[in-house]
Amino acid sequence: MEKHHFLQIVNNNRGIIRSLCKIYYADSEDQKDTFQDIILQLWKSVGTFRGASEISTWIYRVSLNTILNKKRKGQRSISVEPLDMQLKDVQVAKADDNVELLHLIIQSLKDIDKAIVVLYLEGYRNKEIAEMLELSLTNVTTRFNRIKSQLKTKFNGKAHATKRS
Amino acid sequence: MQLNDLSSAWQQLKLLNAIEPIAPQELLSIIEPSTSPNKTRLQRTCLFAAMFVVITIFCQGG
Repeated sequence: MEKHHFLQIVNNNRGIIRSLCKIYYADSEDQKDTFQDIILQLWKSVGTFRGASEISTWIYRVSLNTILNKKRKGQRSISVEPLDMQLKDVQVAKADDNVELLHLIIQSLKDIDKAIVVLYLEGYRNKEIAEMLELSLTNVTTRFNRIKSQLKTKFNGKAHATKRS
Repeated sequence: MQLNDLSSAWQQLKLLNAIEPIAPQELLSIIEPSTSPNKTRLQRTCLFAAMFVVITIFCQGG
């Protein structure tokens, strides 16, 4: 793939890449580093993309695996700010109550669970999510059921409060 | 609350983060340093191959 084609693909999918960086990292420097890591991984793996899946699927797969690997290695992964402070920094959250709620929910999850929720919201099925994150289907299903029950107990009140305000 | 209710929020978040385009120079500055080591590796391999040929010929007394 030629460079200009690659640049076009990245630019067309910049919303995905930036959103993933922002939900995993509160610090803007960490977001910038992660963005660069993702671009580099996409460029390195562009030769393996055969067009069997959607380009956005490939972007999600590479981006999330890059982030999760980085998190596993513990590179500047610990968010030191309390959740309330993080939410204040998220300018976009003010745009819509549901976006704010989404941030709140995602921030409360473990790294792999964040990826599962994002892919679910994007419309992928458990089997596809398992393949993309290189997990077993059972693992994804179990985690997803646990996430749903956690959110049900944690955020039901918050959801109502946010919707009412 | 259902997770499905947040699908539109995720779509909205992506749109908000896509407002500002990425400058091609920014992307090129990320990917180009990764291209040059490959070239260097190729150059090094060629150099080693040439040295190997010369040494082999020399050792054979040719």
